[in-house]
Amino acid sequence: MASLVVLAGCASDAPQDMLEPEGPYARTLDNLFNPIFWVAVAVFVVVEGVIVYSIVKWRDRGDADGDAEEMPAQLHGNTRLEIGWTIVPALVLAVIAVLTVPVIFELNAEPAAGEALEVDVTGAQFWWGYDYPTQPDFGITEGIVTANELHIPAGQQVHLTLESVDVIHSFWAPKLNGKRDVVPGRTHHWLLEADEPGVYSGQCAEFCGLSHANMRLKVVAHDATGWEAWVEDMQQEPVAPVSGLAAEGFALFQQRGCSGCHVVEGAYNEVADDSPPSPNLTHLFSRDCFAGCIYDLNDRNELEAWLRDPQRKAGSKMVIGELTEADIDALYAYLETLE
Amino acid sequence: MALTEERPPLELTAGDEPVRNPLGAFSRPSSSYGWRSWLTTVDHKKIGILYGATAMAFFALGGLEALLLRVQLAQPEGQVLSPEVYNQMFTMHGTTMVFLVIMPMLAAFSNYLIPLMIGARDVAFPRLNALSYWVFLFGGLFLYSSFFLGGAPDNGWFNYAPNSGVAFSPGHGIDFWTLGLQITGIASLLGAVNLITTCLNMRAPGMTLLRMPVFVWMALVAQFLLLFAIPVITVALFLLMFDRLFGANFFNVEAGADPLLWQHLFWIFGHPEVYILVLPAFGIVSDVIPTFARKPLFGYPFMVFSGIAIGFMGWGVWAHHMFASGIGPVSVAAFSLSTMFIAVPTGVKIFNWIGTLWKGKLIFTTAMLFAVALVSQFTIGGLSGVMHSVAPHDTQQTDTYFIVAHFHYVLFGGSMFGIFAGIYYWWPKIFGHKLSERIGKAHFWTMFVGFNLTFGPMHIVGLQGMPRRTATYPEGMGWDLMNLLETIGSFLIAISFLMWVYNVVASRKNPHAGADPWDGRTLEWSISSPPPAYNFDVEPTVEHLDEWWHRKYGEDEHGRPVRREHFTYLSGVDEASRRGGGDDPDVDVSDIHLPSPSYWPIVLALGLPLIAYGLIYTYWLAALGGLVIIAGSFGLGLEPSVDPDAGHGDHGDHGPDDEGHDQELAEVGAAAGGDDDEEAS
Repeated sequence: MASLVVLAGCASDAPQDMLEPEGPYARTLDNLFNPIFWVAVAVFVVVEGVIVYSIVKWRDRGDADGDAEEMPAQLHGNTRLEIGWTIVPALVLAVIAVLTVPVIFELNAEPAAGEALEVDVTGAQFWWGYDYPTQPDFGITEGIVTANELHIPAGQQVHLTLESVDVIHSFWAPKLNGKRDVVPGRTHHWLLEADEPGVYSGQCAEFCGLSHANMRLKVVAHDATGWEAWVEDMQQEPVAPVSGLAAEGFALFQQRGCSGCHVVEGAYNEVADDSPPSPNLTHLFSRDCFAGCIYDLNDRNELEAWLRDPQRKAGSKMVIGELTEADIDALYAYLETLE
Repeated sequence: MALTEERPPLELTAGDEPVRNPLGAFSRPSSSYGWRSWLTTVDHKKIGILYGATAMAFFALGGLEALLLRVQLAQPEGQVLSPEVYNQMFTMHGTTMVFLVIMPMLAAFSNYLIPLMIGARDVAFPRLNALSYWVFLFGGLFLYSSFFLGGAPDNGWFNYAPNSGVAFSPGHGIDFWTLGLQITGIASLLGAVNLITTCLNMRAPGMTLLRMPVFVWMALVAQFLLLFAIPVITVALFLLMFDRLFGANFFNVEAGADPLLWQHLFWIFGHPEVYILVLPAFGIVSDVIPTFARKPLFGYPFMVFSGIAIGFMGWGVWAHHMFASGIGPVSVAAFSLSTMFIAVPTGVKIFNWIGTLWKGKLIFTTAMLFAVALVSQFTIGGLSGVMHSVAPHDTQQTDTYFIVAHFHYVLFGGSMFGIFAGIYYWWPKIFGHKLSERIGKAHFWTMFVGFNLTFGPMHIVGLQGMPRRTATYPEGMGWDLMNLLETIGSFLIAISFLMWVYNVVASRKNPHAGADPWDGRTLEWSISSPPPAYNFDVEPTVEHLDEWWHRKYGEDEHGRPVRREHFTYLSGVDEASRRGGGDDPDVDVSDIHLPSPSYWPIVLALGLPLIAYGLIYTYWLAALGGLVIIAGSFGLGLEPSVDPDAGHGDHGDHGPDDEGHDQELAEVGAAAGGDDDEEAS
């Protein structure tokens, strides 16, 4: 069993492997886990070793003269041994405790003001929303709203403020940090940091209903120029198309009620009062995935299939009437302009 | 002892005739044979068998649900189950295995064995005992009826708020869960009161607390945990019921509730519950291992006190289920430390079992294989438990398959292996014949391999970041191979369970095993197999821990045990006990009075699911259920526990000479006029 776990540590093709941290917080956790893991392995080897030894050594081999059964010595116990195997594990655990407790407080420490990039995260059935308040230090002069893909600068502390609009979710990007529950009615905070630019996989880790499995997320860490470019792109309002198929789609977006729920800044800024929480689509095509990050946005068929039937993801709150293939082409053409 | 006293029938007012047929509803059942006797029995042994049979039936259902989960997860993007069905399956799998399998299985052992082990004729409240079983059964059936009434509960066995509210779970599934568990909770509470009283008040003379077998001790600790934990979950269920059925706002965030309230209530129950599930299994192996190591349990008092310590410390660790829930670093640190240190008394148990094996003469019967498997596999679950207690890293582990692996090593590798050890060990006591050792060993090895193949790889996918309770997972996460292995393992477990079922069927014609087939140490082996209804001809006088062993074995000059030439079985076995037996050869067993069978427990219990259906569908049904309960309570209360018309209690059912001939006698009894027949004598 232990050797299997060690093997798991070596597997490199698991994008959510918690034993391969790629940021300082996750590494702090891993550094704490490693010695404790090996202590456990040592205890495992000793205990199982003694059990196996006892089985082999003292197994009754059915001595030839069955009747004259020889009884083993009738040991009732040994107080010194008892005290020993009470105290020794307690000491080992005390060492583990001493290692553990400071880390608990370290990871709950709030960053100094202005040092961390602030992002407000919203959990909703079954997708993630991200709201970047204005932070000139990070180039954000106007708030940014996006969904499912969390963009951050690499090597930068990120301070998340977690809120839920419905049930309990849990935000988790294993290579960057552990998880923190997102509880309705409460505001939780959590820290993230990635060492290097890259894409980090994660997902909701608290059962949240029908499509819990489909509430995934990505963290995209940029280098400095990549971050500046992303922020700049996100702060440009898309231009509403005036002609062609995309313009037809632009009109359909309102006629079909899409704009009742989805914000497209500059064009559809207000959603209906009774709208369920819905992703902001202003820069939809700057993302690689949609609908809780389970579909590939670079594959045209996925989005078309979604427009045909949003219920292909169980529990989706999206309602869209029957669309003709022409409608779908037009809507797709419009959505494609939302870069 | 109270039950053997000659006492006048219950009198309501001086001079009145005793009430014979309260409410005039039906004539009192008197037969101990035939199927109807199982509905009316108040014999702790029959009730124990009912508990066990019911629990194993639910085990088959819970296992079937698990297989469906594993089929769905065998490969990425599984399409076998819809998410709706998947969520129902994992919810019912967990709820079933905890509430309808392991808890009643341990109730089965406790019921059957505690009176035998402490030298009593029955539990303290035999009629309450029957009520407790029927309440449990109807609670379980009520919960399962949800499958046919619009869908089973689908929010997990932990049922976190606010997803459990009507707004997010509008179907009736959660109502069935909430009401069904309240009903089974009543059964657990009745059982706890009954068994605690039994352990404390019904012990034979000389059976001091520190001469009680470790199984009795661990069952006693578990019953105390139940006594205090069930009210907590009941409060939580009650609040949730009010939210769902009557529009209360205990967990409604819109109205200002904090959903963490549910988590605290649930886990204040939920963590002691873990020890409720595992301590009696520890007790079982603490009796099995010494028998087959041919030496006494190493460190008996330490085993007892470590069990008690676990019982106390188990109340101080609940928030380790909530390390990611945002309860603040001080709470996290406190619960992290308490969780680490509960490993100390647990370790003491492991070491003492090993101490018992050490220099023993180990006889590897199937029971012993399962018992040693518990020691080795529970150790793995214990070690991963220590890893979870490292709270910062638990924010990585929690809600992943690493946790699923952990608690299956605890509850399958611990509780279920202990339960199977107990089944193989006590089967000859309960049914008179052994289960086949050959099939048993095949069962053990298949289950052992299947168990490790199923739950071992879960450690790995868990550390690789696979979350629990997900109906599907995408390709490319590195989880495919391990999931496939897990599914193969789960089918091995299923095959091993079928081997056990086959063993039960194939072994029923095995030769009679005698009173003491394993050369046991505790009092249940001193009486016939199966035991007579009254258990002991005379209540034994106890002088030692492992009393029966000391009656069989003296010591030579080196302190080695030497089997005595003469010792007396305590009922129904040899000539001495046939004449009267036990510690007093002059006793006449026909003078023993036992409580008579009764219809009232099952009637009373039937009212509870009626109320529960009524709360969901129509209050008229609830009113009917209420009337049934009132009638049942009066019936049960007014009926004398010993039927005044039945003359001498239990003549004719298990006479001292019927050893091994239950079946024939049952047929004779049925042929002679059925269940309402007056006694055969």
